[in-house]
Amino acid sequence: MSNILEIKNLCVSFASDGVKERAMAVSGVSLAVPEGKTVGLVGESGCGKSVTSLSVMGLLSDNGRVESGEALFGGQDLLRLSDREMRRIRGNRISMIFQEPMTSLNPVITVGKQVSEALRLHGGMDAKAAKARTIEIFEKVGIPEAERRFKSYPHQLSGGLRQRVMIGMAMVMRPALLIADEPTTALDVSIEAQILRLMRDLQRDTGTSILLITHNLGVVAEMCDEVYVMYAGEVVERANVTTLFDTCAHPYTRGLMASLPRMTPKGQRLYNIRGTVPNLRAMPSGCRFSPRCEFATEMCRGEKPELNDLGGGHLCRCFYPKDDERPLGGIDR
Amino acid sequence: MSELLRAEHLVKEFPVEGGVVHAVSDISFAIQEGETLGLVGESGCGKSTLGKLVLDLIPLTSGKVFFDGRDLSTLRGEALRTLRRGMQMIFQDPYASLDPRMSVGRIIMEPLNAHRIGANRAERADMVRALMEQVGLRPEFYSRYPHQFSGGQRQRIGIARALALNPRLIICDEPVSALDVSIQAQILNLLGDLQRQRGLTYLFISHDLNVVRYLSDRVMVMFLGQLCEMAPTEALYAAPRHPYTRFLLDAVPQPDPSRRDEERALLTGEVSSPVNPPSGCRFRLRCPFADERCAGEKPELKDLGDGHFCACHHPLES
Repeated sequence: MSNILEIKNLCVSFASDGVKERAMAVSGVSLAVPEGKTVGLVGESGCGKSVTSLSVMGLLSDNGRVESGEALFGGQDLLRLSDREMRRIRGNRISMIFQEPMTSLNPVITVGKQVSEALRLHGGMDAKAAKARTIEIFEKVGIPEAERRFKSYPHQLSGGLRQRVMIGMAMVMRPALLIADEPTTALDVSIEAQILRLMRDLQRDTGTSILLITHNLGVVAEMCDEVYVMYAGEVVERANVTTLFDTCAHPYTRGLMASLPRMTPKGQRLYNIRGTVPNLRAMPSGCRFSPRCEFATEMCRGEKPELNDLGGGHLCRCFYPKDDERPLGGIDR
Repeated sequence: MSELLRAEHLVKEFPVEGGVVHAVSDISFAIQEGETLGLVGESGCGKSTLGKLVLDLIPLTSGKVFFDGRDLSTLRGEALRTLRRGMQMIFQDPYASLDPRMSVGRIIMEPLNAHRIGANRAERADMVRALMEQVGLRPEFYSRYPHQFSGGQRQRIGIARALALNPRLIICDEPVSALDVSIQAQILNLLGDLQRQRGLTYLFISHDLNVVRYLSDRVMVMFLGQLCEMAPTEALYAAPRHPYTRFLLDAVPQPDPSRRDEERALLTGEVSSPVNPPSGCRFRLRCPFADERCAGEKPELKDLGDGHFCACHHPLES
């Protein structure tokens, strides 16, 4: 199977006021999204997962800069395209949806107009055809009273409906790739379930590949075929979804899984990863997770582990990937 | 176990343009000393408002709150101040609830100053350092400011401040919702430890059903200002009786890919407005079992046995 998107060795840095040194938000990330699949990019705040996707879309803020790497999409390197070329791809062959649809919708234009505009711009339809198609799309993404909603302004819709509008807009051109950055994080659980189902149904109909960025392991389990786990700007593990949930190997991934309050009975302490994520300007030497890792040795503190294949494409950046002799202890703080 | 808090027929209505928001409509419950009572519901259901009513942070439209057997509405002045020391709150957003211009030491000391606890400043500073230690903050950080701390550490500051007056009841309003999962586990463990060490009672408000399950002895489910169900935690999760609870539990994406293809019933429609809530059962517009009775007659919270209460004309089989 071929890959719709291949990111190779992406490095992204940020400048901030009053600090000379640039912070490395993404350090050598490689990932591939196979055609028709959903790939999850998981990690905690600040791990670089959103920066990775924004770089690919050419949407980094002014203080961000791609230092090196490639993002191959249909034979083109997206990182080398001009703004004009990128605009033609964005919203057409690659679409993106974000956590808070309110920030990506124009508050003074009706949602119907915003969606039909995309159709006129990218699809070359006239106003009448675009309107009819927009209403069709609204119905498809489950917006009740689609005709009436066409004339609604974003603030007149609930968060769930706004996200449906965004998804409708994103799917208008049947993009080859949809990048979804925490699409359900701001939504209530009953609405989240509806939106996740909608994304899966649309994928089944259109064959769109999805890069799903989330911190929620429940959403990963529900949606993804393959998963990349990021920590402090690097990919630390990659596996298919079943392998990841059954036998994850990196101590960070294991810690994340163990700290979920799933079936832990009351009174029994939850596992927690001690400490906090490192400062991007003061990365620990050796393995970036070593200061928080209960298995870390001298070697981990001095030498940098590579992303090794444990077999079958299960990649792990650790000198001591899981073996059963090493149960998690659960050290506090 | 004795009863620490009793809420009787709490009602809160906010007048707005074009009507009245029925934020909390006739809710009654009690919490035993040392117990954790979970409160779950989706945004806008009134769960945070309910927490604030219990603490008397906003005035009740009607109803009564008893703390340690005493009716809060009958107390005035010093007697009320003393009683309220026993009830504190931890908020969701540790960024918004800490004054950025105050050092951590001063933030935690403020309730001690307000209630004139400790003989002098030095004694209060010692108490603050002890509190910091207890919540896992290094006492050397006394003079630092909130922005110098991470989200998890800030939540620890909020917890230390809540503990300063040695309360018996703490209302935790989404205390881990803004935190990453590894940090969330640290704070949940801390809340558990503090409860064991100090015999604390919690009203734990959250939209996260997994978190509530882990921490609570009993759980209440709220929908549009009303209680749907209240039961011991395991009974509620294993065999919910209210259709809304069932939908809510089914909707949570579980971290288990093998369950992905399970047929799950999804709630349809949008949340109704608390300004003009439906007549009868407020859930009926989204409920597949609703009939005429549900439209005409408001279901009362009934005891189905073993402490399992449900407000539904057609409760699910257990």
